[in-house]
Amino acid sequence: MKKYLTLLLALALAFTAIIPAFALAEDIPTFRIAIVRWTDSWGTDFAETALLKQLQEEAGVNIEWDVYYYGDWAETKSLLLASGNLPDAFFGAITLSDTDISQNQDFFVDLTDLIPQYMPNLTAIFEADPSMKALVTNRDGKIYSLPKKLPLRPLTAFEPYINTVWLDALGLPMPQTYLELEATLEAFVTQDPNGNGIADEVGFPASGTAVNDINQLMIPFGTQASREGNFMGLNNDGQPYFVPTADNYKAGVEWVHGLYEKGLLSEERFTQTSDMVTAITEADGGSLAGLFYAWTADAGAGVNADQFEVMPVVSGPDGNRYVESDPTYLNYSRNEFEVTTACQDVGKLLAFADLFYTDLASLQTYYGSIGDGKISDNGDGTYTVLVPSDGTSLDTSCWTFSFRDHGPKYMNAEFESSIILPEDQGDGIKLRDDAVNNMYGRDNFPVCSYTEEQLSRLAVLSTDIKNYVEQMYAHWVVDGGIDEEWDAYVSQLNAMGLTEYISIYEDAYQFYLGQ
Amino acid sequence: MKRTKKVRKSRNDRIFDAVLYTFAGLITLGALYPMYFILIASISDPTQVSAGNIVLYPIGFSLKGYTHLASYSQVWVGYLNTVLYVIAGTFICLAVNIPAAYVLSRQDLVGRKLLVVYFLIPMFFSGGLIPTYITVKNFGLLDSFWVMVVPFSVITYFIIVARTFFKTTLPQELWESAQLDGCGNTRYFIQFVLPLSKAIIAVIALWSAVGIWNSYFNALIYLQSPQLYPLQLVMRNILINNQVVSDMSTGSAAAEAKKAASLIKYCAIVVSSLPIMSMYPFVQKYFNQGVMIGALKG
Repeated sequence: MKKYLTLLLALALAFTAIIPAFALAEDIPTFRIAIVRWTDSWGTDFAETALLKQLQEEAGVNIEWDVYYYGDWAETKSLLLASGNLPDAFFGAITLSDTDISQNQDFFVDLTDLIPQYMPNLTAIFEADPSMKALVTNRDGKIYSLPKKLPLRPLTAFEPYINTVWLDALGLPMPQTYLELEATLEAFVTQDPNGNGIADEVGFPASGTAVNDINQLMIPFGTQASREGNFMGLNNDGQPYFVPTADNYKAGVEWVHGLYEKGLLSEERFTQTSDMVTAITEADGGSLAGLFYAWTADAGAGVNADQFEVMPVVSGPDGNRYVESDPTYLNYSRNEFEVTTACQDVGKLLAFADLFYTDLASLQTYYGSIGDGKISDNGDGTYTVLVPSDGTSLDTSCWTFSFRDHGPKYMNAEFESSIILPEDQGDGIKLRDDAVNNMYGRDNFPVCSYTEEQLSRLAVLSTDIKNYVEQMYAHWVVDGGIDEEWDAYVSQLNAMGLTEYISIYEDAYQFYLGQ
Repeated sequence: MKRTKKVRKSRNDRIFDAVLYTFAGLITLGALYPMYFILIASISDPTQVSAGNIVLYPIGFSLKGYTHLASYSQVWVGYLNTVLYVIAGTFICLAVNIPAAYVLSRQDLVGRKLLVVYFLIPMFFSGGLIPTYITVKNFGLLDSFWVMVVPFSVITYFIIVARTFFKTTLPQELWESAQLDGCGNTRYFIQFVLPLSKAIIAVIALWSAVGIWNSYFNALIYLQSPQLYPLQLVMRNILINNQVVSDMSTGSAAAEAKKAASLIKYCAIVVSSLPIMSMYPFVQKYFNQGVMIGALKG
């Protein structure tokens, strides 16, 4: 008798375990979301975090991630779009560009009226911060993608780091003007500051591209342009202009050519690979670089980071100090989430995406989940971001265990102050170093919206124009001759459609101001 | 009687030989050096490698790359997958190409010329990537084991080479006499043709195996799950994807990812090409035969 009872009980227990499992399996819709990651080195742990489990449960959805890697993405993207083999949604701003969305508009769900209906958090943000709404609104007033704003961000992307060990060895002060900087770099390469008797020092080892150098090496000339790589900047009157045909650019290139002639720049700067730069900055037994631009010193010099400190930006020929600053590009972006027509239950998926737009979710999609021990909840309304215990850097841990820069995100400014960052890691260092120069930041050409027609014209025009600018830049830095060839260069650019190119950006800028 | 005394070469001949040997030697060196470089770079100190100090011999002997690679589980998953793809793919490749080639070699096949043209057209004109992708998708093969071994197994070039072989080595009389003894088509193919064609089967098997071992593009396009990735795709991820990590807004994480990749890069190349390279000496004679067979197409 007792035996049967046990059996009965066991069966009953099994039943209670099975029933909810069945019930759950039937109710929960599964969505397939495509995400692009920079590299597979960071694995796929981001999809298994405590926060994501919690959000999926809250929204009553099940998410499957199709993970792609940036290096392969261009090919796979065109296949997915051309064959119509669409996931339910695309996630992250590096996944689809404005052009991809506008050229395949039939594939994407118009979210304009669905956001107020299914996304209470985002609607509240749109009311409190209209720039978030302006960012995703197309020129025709429609919304096809969701925005993000990153928290705790610097004003400058790349800080100048100077080798202070060498400065001390030679008894030199921190350079204050661009001419002093030139003299300092010259001292670095000629006076053997590392004392090994070999002239192995490189003043400025970075590879040369016009698009980087206008915001870094020649920034004392006021050549700041948008980080979008379109070469558009704002002049002192706030008017947009094309930097590579401006006088300050010309003067800047001449100065860079002088540096190159003197051997202060890497000799192979237009042909070298990034490995060769790393070999100089991260050389065993002390960095061989005098100056470099990087997000943080350890991103540029690895173990040699201690040798470097942020250089207060030097003043240019006009006596002003300039630093590249592009907060709209760095912190805000659109195209973070697009729903495709393959999605069966758009409302439910949007409700899930809406859960990303809370302070607490944004904190965890940026630094890692509280439930995974990446952040500790101090219970008094403050949160401490923890340093990983396994010896990896906080930055790598963030990219591994969260979406980091990608995906929907928004944090209120008041909440930012309740986050305690480790001062010697990742964002802590970045914010400290950013404070050295960020008072010199000026307005930059913003991230604008373009009409479909403008986007397709830009796609045609920009390739030739950008290639020609880069090609001539390399030529002038290495061989010189900018004075004689300048007029031919400008008329060649005009023949490539520069006037139309600029007018598109001017039009978009006027629209931006109007908003 | 054997001639023991060599014919003395004229001065011109000797000069010609000297030039020829030097030239051939240079070409050989040019082909061997990259492989040698990868080998010594894989056992050198990574910082010396990226500094460009490694030229002729390893500097700062280090096995760090190999120990790091050993812990990189995706490489071993890829290894296993590649071996399975090579075995299954080669088998399927033989099963479809050899019978096709034999049939096309038979004089009494009705519409033979038309069929040959039918096979030749896709050799020169393919449907293009997107239509092929849609076809594969509609067969439900996306992201499965079979997409790596079935869809691209018919290779016209192999068929032509094998057909030429059958045509030239199997005399018509053999088939006639077999027929007189009451042998049918199937039996003739299995009991006569196959045993007499070991050389061509070996060559095609090798070509197919090497081709599958080295291919990554189909995997890149049609596979999605990392547990199905072949070795070459894993390698591609290590070598290429870490290079494109944007410096933009990725601080030390990008630098660390690049560094880890450059540490294992050369070791990964060695590990992935060693098996197929060490096969070469043993199968070289078949390769030579294969080249000869391929020399006469028609």
